Parts: sequence; structure tokens; C-alpha cells
Amino acid sequence: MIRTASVLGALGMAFWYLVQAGSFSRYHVLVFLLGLAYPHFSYFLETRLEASRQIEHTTLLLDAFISGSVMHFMDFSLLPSLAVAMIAIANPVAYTGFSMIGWSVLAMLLGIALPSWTYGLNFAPGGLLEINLTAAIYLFIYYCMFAYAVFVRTNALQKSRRELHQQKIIVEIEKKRSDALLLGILPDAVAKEFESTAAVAPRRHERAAVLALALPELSRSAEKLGPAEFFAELNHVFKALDAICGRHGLESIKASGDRYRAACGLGQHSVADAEAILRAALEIRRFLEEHNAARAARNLSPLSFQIAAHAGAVVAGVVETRKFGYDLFGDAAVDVEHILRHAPCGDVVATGALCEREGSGFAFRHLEDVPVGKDRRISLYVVTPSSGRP
Amino acid sequence: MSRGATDCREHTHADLLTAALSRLFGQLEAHALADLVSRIELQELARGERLYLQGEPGTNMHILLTGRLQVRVKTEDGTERVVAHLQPGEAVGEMALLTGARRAATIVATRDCTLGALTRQDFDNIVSRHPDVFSHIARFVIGRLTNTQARAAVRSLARTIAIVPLHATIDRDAFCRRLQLALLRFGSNIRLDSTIMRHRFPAGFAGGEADRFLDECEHTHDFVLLEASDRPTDWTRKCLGFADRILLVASGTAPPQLTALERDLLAHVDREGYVLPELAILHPAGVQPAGTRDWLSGRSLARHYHVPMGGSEGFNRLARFLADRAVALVLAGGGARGFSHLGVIRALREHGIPIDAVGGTSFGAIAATGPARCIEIEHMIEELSHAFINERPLDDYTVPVVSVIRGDRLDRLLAHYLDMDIEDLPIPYFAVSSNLSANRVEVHDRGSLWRAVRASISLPAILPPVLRDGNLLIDGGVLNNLPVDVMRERIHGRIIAVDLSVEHEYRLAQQALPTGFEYLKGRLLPWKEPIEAPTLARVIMKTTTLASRREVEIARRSADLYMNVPLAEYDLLDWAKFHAIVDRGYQYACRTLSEHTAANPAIVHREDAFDLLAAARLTL
Repeated sequence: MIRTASVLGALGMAFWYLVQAGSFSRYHVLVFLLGLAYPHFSYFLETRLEASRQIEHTTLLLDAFISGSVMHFMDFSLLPSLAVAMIAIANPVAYTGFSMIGWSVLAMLLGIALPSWTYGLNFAPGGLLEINLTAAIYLFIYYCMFAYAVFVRTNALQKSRRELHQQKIIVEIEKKRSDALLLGILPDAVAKEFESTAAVAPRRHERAAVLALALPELSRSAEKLGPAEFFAELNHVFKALDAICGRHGLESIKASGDRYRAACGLGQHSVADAEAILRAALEIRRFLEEHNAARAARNLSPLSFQIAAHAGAVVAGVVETRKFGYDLFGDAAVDVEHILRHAPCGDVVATGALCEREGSGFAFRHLEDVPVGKDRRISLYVVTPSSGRP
Repeated sequence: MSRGATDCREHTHADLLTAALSRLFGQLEAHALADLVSRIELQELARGERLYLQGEPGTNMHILLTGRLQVRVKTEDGTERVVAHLQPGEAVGEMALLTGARRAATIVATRDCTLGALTRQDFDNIVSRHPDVFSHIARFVIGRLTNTQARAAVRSLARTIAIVPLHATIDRDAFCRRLQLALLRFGSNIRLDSTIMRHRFPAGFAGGEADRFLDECEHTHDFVLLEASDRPTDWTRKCLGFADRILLVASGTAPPQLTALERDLLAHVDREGYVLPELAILHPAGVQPAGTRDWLSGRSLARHYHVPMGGSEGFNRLARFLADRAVALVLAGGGARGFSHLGVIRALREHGIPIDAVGGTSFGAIAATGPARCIEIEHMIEELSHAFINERPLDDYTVPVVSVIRGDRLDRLLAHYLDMDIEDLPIPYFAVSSNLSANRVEVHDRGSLWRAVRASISLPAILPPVLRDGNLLIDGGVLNNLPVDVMRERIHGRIIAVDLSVEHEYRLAQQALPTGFEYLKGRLLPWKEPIEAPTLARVIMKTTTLASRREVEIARRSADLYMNVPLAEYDLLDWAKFHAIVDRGYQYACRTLSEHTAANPAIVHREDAFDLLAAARLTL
């Protein structure tokens, strides 16, 4: 745009000079026609071919050639020639940096040489006052336009840079959110490992303690209540279990169907704490008892529940199915499910292995010995708080 | 009541008394203890009755056996403030035994109480017979005087919270469930509503039966939630009378006028002996609070909360406040060094430490608006960097009659970004300024946010002071640069204080101050070393924070986690080094927090930021 204007302006100035000087030839007409047609042609090419570099360079060289011719037409009048020469050099610098200066100068010299060869060289740098004034105004307008173009460009650049920065912030925030979502699935210690190594090594924990809970009559309750109401209650109960386990330092492992499972002693530093798991179990029992009292007040039948606590070795790791999950395996994990079947409703049952570790603060009553596998037997105890606050 | 029942009650009271005495005064000799118990007289106090009046001479001490007492203190400006609740087993008025001093607080019964009273005469008699009793009680009194914080911590444990819905449109059940779940993270809780209570006590709850059941619940649970209804029923009255805290729950979409229930039951809070209620305004997901001013006018409230119904953070925050486990952030002033607050806030967020209340002085007050508006810290950084680097609000010099900087540009900028009321902010906020006219610290926690910030950052002589009700307000750093004490008065919980004071002294290399010409030469001539001169701005900034050094020292000791970002090489006026200063704050806070985490491997749960802060206090 600005280049087209500068070429047309230079031609206009030369035309004005030639009319003043009264020397008009066939060559002049040719150059004028070329000069009038070519900017439109180059503009057309640029818009259609998305401004390939080659076309840009060629048109820049043509600009310089025409500028040379114009200088010759005006018999090298000092101010107009200087203006045209400056613009012929400034344009390539603005577009391509300094790499094309040499070629532009060459093209300009060619523009001078070609008419000189046919018409001879008329060197009269004095020039007319009017033409000098016109040249000055032309130069002034050109630089205003040039400055404006620079301004528009810088603005656009700043804006895009700002937008880029904002995009970056949004991406960062989104990433944090998705990280938080993923890490919500995993226990904290495991999540930290996942954060640093992007993988979780399965581990065997010799001294873990596992808590299992079953709500055997849940399905019947689901039939009575509407789906929304049923899920509201289920969410409330399981979230409460999460909160209680969290406060006592237990890791909630998973809730599936009417089962809930939590464990402690899985972290790298933490040691299985039998007291914590028994306290959590008793608090869960109290929570469910109160929940049942609230149900009774609303003429709903109580939810029966079984709670079992066990200690032993487990293997813990991440199971990478389509639904990523952290789970426990191993003897203790299997046994606790088995024990759950023998637990009386509404009581907390602990195994001998767990009771051995924690003697104070709780009262244990022997329940029965349950056979597990071929030749193992596990003794079960009912746990109650011994005194004071459970 | 039959004779047997009375005996039984007195018997239990004697037991309670013995247990309380040995807990308060340590191991007394058996016969001294028996003598003491026999001298103590039982005294009944009905709800709403006053035990002490602040300022009256004291002649005896009391031990609370059943019920609840409320401690109120009248402050200098004439307003009365509830400072504590006393639970059974606690003693009051013990100073009267030793010195006969005037009562330091007004004490009112918020439930029917039974107290044990010991007069000064009886005490003197006992001391003459068992001199070691005196040393036990003196130890107890001195312990109390020197360790008021610890005392507050013991007191705030068991909590009975009445939940009073103000509008019928509120889903009471859902609200209580969500609050109950959030509270479960801090302790066991039980929720009692009229249906459950009527099921349990079909004859009504007027008799002592229901009271005993509620007492029992308080004993076995950390929190008891009493769910009242939106009509003035017997049960609602019972809830209000029994509660340690009353939480009014309002729907943000309803009109803010007083409801019929409030007019009926809560109009005379003092006379009835109820505690001052708190107000939780529920907002539908995605709706910003607005017009809170109308909610607060006409109600006397201890505090208000905005609870967004979307997401769980609103309920978790409410639970932290109710459990007295809120985490507050206090930010110091310090000019451009204050940018490091942004880095600290970012580090806190990344470590999962919630921010439930913020306050600050001067530049700290600006940085605190980020968490207060609950905007992402990255946006806050962007906003401030744009405001201070691109807009240059402080390049606005004028003829220095009132101040060097005209302040118009700064006003426009603050009004653009912070055009809201402090009451409408999602979390509690305050800014501190110094009142030149009345010569005291001014705390802004109501009204226009940008005006409060503007008052707080009005560096004397640099920025024009702010006029409010004829008072001249200038930079808060003059009187209190790290307002931990102001925060302590407002919230019960953990306080993180971020300071910006540079430890080393401000020294210059040369022997004499450079003349103006020498200074100019150093600045203009490229081959001259620029002379460091104590410029006007620098001297004023230094002077401003110098006066409150002592306060800062006290604040530093009372904060749970004190951070002092090392910023010695940055100047108070280095606005252009924005990103470097933010980053310094971030690095420092990350290092400090992970040091504390590493020192306490037991804290594996990221949610348990509270415990981390507790541990930080221990290692400080």
C-alpha cells in the first residue's frame, strides 16, 4: 500500500516536472504506463499468491528501477532526486532489512542508465522551486505514512503478545485443574510420587491395617427411595466416611457398590496405626447409628452395617484400566473381605492380628475363630470403647 | 424434686468441683482439697442473668459446673465485644482472691448455670490453714496472665451451633448435610432437628430430659448442630437458647429485610442472653455477592459469610470458621517489595493452604485484594503488572504543596480495578490506615474497597492523604505495618504473617551527604559513578515503617507462621523489577513451606494445612 503510493507519487512528480520542462518522449510514456499499471499488478499478485518472498523482492527491485528512471527524467533535480532515491532505498530496508540494499542500488543505476543510453544524460541539479516544494511535501507525506504503518504494526504485535500471555495463563490454570482432578483419585503419598516420576511403583506393605465396611441392605433401600434421594443419601454416607477416615489419618481406598474400604500404613513414612483404625471404625459406627436414628425419626428402616478391621501385609498399586484406580491386594486385603461376612450387623469387629498391636483404650470381646483358606484360622473380637470418649 | 434426686445432683456437683479444682490448680493435698470443696457454695444463675459487671470490685471467684457463660469486654470506643465462652470446669474472677481487683469483663449466663463460689474471706481462711494452696492458685493465676493465647485455644473446643434458616426457600436438609460433611474433617458431629428430637422426646423438650440429652451430645461430639426451623417454634427457641454460636442462613436471592423470625426472637439478643448471631448468605453457583450492605444494616451480627452453593470450597471455609480453624493471611507494607506478596500467595495456593481471611497495610492491602476477591493469583499478577508497569500510576508529579504525587491517576486506576464494597468480598478483608486526626490505627472493613486501599497506601508527603468524616488518613505503616493483632481480634485460627522488613541498617558509603549538584552530576554524566543519595521518597518510606518496628516485633511473635522475604537488594521504589520480586517471594515461600513439611513427615494430607501451620508454630 505505502509502496504503491510512493511509486505513484514519484511518477506524478516526474510528470509535473516534464510538463514544466516541456520535454516529453515516447520512452517517458512507456515508463509512465508501466508505472501506472505495475503497482496494481503487484498488489493483485500479492493478495492472490499470499505475498511470496520472490514477488516481493522483484517488485522492490522494479520500484528502485522506476525511481532511477524518474531521477533521470527530472534531470537529477537535487531535492526530488534525493527524495526518490531515499525512498527507493528505505522501502527494501523496511521490508527485508539490509540484505537487498546492493541490488536496489543496482536496479536504480539501471533505471538511470537505460534512458541515458538512448537519450543521453542531462545533469541539471538546480531544478525549479515548485518542483522542490512538491518533493518536500511528497517526502513529508511518505514519512508520515511510514511512521503510521510502523505504529499499526507495533500495536498489533503488542496485542498479540498480550493475548499469548493470557492464553498461557489460562493453559496453566487449566493444567492445574486437570492435575488436581487426577490427583484426587490417588492417595496423597502416591500422588506425590506420580507428580515427580509420572508412574507409581507397586509396593508391598508388611505392616498395613485395613478397614472394610459393608451396607448389606443398601439395595433394598434403593428400591424404596427415588434414585435422586437414594444417591443423595449414599453420597452423604460415603463422603462422611471419607472425612472421618481422613481425620484419623486413614487412606480411603475405594467405595464400590455397598462396600467401602480404607487403610493406613501405606505411605513411605507412616506406620500402620492400630489405634487410629479402631478409633475411625468406632466413629463410623457412631455416625451410622446416628444416621439410623435420623432415618427412624422419618419412618425409614435403619441401614444395617458391618465393620471389620484387620492388620497384615498388602500389596498396593495403581490398576491402569480405562478407569484408573488405586487398590489393595494380598492376604490382608482378601481376609478382611472374608471376615466382613462373619461380622455381626452394627458392631466393629477386629482380628487378633490388629488387637495385638493395640491394647489400651479399647475393650475386646472374643467372638469366634473363623477358618480362612485351608488351615488358617483368624480369631475375631468385637471392639468397644473402654472408657471416656470413644 | 425428691430428696434423693437432690442428693444425687449435689453429689455430682461435688465430683465436678473436685475434678475442676484439681485440673485448674494441680495436685492439692487431699484434706486441703476437701476443705476447699466444703467452703465453696453452690449458686444458680438463670439464662440472661449477669454474674459480673466490668469495672465493679470483685470479692469472690467462681467455678462453672454446668451451663455456659459469655465473657464480654467493653472496648475504648464504647462497643461491647464477646471475647470468650466458658464451659463447665472453668474458673473466673480468680484475680479477686489475690488482689481484690476490679472485674476485667462482664460475664453473662447464656444458659441456666450452676456455679461454685469462693469468697475472699474463705480463701484467706483456707490459706492460713493450708499455705501451699496459695502457691497453687498463684501459679494458676500467673500462668493465665502470661499465657492468654493457650487459654483461648482450650476454650474454643466443643461447639454447639444453632442453624437458623431465615427463608423458607432454603433447602435446609442439603445445607445441613453439606455443612456436616465439611465439619467432619475437624471432628465428630451430630445433627439434631425437630423431627429427631420429637421422635426421641414425644412429650416436648421443656423438661430437663432434653437438656440432659443435649449435654450428653456435647460431651460425646466435637460439634452439635441444632437445626432450627424458620418459624418461632419451641424447638427454635431451644436451639437459640442452647447454642454457643447462632448461624443465620439466608438466601442471597431473597430481599435483605429483617424476617419475622428475627424480629420475634433476635431483636433483644442481650435481654434474652443469646449469643450474637452470625449470618451466612447463600449464593447460587456463579453469582457474585452484591448489596451485602443492605443485609448488614439493621442486624447486629458477629460476622457474615458468603457461601457459594457451587463447589465445596464455600462450605469448607464456613466449617473452618465454625471450627475456629480458619487460616488468615496478614501482609505487611513495603512499597515495591510488596510485589513479593503475590509470589507468597501463589506458593500458599500451590501447597494447598487455604486463605479464609486477609488483611494488610499499605502495599499489603493492595496484594490482599487478590485472595479477597477470590481471583486466580495468575490473574492478579497480570493485573498488577499491567497497572504498575504499563500505567505508571506514580509518575504523576505535581507542585508539592500537599504531596509530591497528585494521585489522580492512582485513584482512577484503583477505582477501575477495585470498584466494590468490602462487605461484598467473598472472604473477610481489612486494610489498615493511620488516622492523623484522632492519632490511632484505623481498620477499614466496611465500605468502598478502593478508598480503603487508597487510604492505606497514602505515604505521607508522597501521596495526598484521604479525608473521611473530617479525619485525615495516611499510610497504615506509620502505626501498624503488620496488623497481626487486628486479625487476631477478628478470627480464631492460624495466622500467616508476611513481613518485608530488611534487617540490616540503612547506611551510605560516603561521609557527607552529596550536594544537589553533585547528585545531579552523578546522574547525568555517563562517566561518573551515580551517587546513592537518601532521596525524599526513600527517607519518607524508611521513616514510615520505622515507627511501627516495635509493633512488628510483637506481631512476629504472635503469628503462627512468620515469613520475612529477603529483599535487601530491592528498593522500596523498584516498581520496574516486578517479576523478579514476585519470583523471589515465591521461591522463599516454597522453601519455607517445604522445610516445615519435611520437618514434620506426619503431615501427609495436603488438606491438613492447618496442622502444618501448627507445626510451623512449634518450630518457630
